[in-house]
Order: sequence, then C-alpha cells, then structure tokens
Amino acid sequence: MTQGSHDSFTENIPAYVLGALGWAEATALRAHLETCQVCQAELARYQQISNGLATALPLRIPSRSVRTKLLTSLEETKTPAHPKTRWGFGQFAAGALALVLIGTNLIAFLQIRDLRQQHMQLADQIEKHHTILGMLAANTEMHPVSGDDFSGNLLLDREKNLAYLLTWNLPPPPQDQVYQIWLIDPNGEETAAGLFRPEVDRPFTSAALDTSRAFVEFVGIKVTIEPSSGSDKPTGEPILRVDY
Amino acid sequence: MDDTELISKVVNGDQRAFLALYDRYSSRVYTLIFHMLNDEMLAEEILQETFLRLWSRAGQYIPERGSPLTWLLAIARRTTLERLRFESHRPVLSDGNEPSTLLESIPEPESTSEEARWRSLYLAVQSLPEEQRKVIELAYYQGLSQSEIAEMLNLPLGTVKTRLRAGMMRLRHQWLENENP
Repeated sequence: MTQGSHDSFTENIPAYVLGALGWAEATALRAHLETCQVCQAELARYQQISNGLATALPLRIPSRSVRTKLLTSLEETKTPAHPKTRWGFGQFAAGALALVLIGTNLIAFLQIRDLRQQHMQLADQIEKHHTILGMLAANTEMHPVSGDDFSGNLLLDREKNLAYLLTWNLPPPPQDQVYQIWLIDPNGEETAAGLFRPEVDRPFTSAALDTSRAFVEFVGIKVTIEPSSGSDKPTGEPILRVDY
Repeated sequence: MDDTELISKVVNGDQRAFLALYDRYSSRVYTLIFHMLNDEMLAEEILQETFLRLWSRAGQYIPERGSPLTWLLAIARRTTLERLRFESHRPVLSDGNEPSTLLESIPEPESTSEEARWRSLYLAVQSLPEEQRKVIELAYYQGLSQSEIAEMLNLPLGTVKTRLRAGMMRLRHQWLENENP
C-alpha cells in the first residue's frame, strides 16, 4: 500500500462516519480499516463526532399521547421476545397456498407410490413370464390340467427345481378366499406350495410353486380353495390335481 | 438502575423498565427525529416506531458497541432515513436559527458533563461556515451521499468532498481536541 492510497482512505473517513460515501468507496475503506490501525484510530475519533451529532441538538419534548399509544401497543404485544402474531390477508393467503401445496404433494406422493407398486407388480409378472417362456423353450415337462370350465398346464423343470401352474379361464375364488397349491409326496402327504388368485380381466393366470424342497421328492400337485391367509392342510375339495 | 440493566429487563418483557427508558430518552430521540423531518406528527410516529423496535429487539443490544442511548439514536436515525427514502420526504434544511426558547433548553455546562459535551458540540456545529455545516447536515440528518449533495446543491463533487472534510476536521479540532488536548 502506498502512502498516497493510505491518505485517500484517511480523507474518506469523515464522509464514511456520516454515511455519505458511495457503496464502492465505503466497501474499499472497510477493507482498508481491517488492516490499518492508524485509520482505525482516526475512525474512532470521527465516530464520536457523528454520534454527537445525534445528540447535540436543542431538546424537544414529544407529546404525552406518544407514551399512551406506546402503552396500548405494549398491551397488544405483551412480550418483546415473542410478539403476538397477527394474521393478515397475506399470511392467510400464504397459509392456504402452503396447505394446497402440501395437499398436492401428498396426492403426488400417493400416486407415485401406487405407480411404483404397479411397476413392481408388472416387473414381477414380466420376470415370471420370461421364466415361463424360458421353461417352454427348454423342453420343460408339461403336464396338462383341466377342470369344469378351465384348462392349463403344469410346467416342471426338475433340474432347475422350477415349477409353474398355468391356467386359462380359471374362475375367481369366492370373496376372502384364495387358491392354494399343494405338493403331494409319494405317501400322500400334502405340503403348501403357494397362494394365488386369477389375474383380473385376464383369462391367463400363472402361479409359481413355492417350496424349499426339491420337486423330485413329490409326485403331484393339487389346488384347493382356502381362506385368504392360506391353510396348513387342505380344507376343501381339490379343483384340480396333476400327477407327474 | 442503569440503562443496561433496564435493557436486560426489557428483554424479559418488563414494561416498567421499558417505560423508564422511554421517560429517560424519548426527548433525545424525538429531538433527533424532528430535526431530520421538521414535522411534529411524523416525528412522533417514528418516535413510537423506534421505541417499539427497542421493545421487540432489546435482545440484540450489544453493550460493547455503545451506550443504550447511542443504540436508540442509531435505530431512530435509521428508521427516519428509511421513512425519508420511502416517502421521498425531504424536509426544509435547518438554517441554524433555532428559536431562542429551544436554545435555552440546551443544558448549561455545569448540569452534567455529558450534557455539557453535547452543548459544546452543538455550538461548534453552529459556528461552522454555512457551506460546511450544510453539507454535514445533508449527509448526516438526511442520509444523502456526497454525490447526491453535489447534485442537490449544484456543486462539483470535489467541492462537496472538500467542504465536508473541512467541516468535520474543524469540529474535531474545536470540540474533540479541546476536550482531550
């Protein structure tokens, strides 16, 4: 910093304390003041003058009504830290807008959640259908099934331990009931292998057989109608049976 | 009870402390506002606004930055300048010829040392050459920048800067350095 630039900053201090410097000059001076102790001392002296200008005036007395009005205002505000909130039209409008936005976001959130669920279901179905197509292409065992009004096939891949029951025109079970698949072992014992309902508005239904054991341990399947949570043992007459 | 204690009580919602501060300083604050506006009704309105700001913002007072009066006057000046800018209400400049009754209200030096200081500064301001006093008043009491003053008075900017600086240096010599030679 040159002596010349220091002098120009010093010269600006009187205007600065009066608030008469332009923005750029005031900003530059503030930066200079951070590092210049001479100018800091100069500032302190002129600051006394500017503070004094606020006080060095012939005294005037305000009317008593100001004090009365202030007292009334204090009664309305009660505490300084937490002044009473007054809701004007603007705040009501902002509040209503906020509620609308929250509502819209909630609806959008629910819609997105439904769409996501649908997407997951579709992805599940696609995966299942791809598996079925793959099984068909690999010469999987295909065992026909039929009933009063429906037909289908049991697809079984013993090597990969995969099995799917495909049905056409299978009627929906009564309300609060589902179809339950049972695997039948050589002794006639039945093991639960999954629940399903026919797909809505589609004649084609596919259901994967779900077991932790190997399908080769069993000799056939059957399907019964059971309560919606399923049963430990079959409680109704089978609507179909396939031996493999 | 001193001012800082009163401010602490105001922070806690003590109306009596608030009124004590009002009774102590309302005249000083009103005097500044009136001097800036030259309008009694508007000055009283801003006086009320200033003290309501004190009521709601007492917790923001920092003793290290100055006395409660200095803080109050800063709030009053800022509030008044805001109103001046908002309404573009430019009052008639003081010509320095205050009514004698008002001059008499300035305390004599023996009243208190603080009051005596204000009186001596007032007299120092009044003794400035007219052209220097005017630019200082326009800057401080009406919030005009040097460029705005130059435009208003139809003077070169350099002339305004010179007059303002000369006036402030003169105040410094006459008032400040006489107190602390």
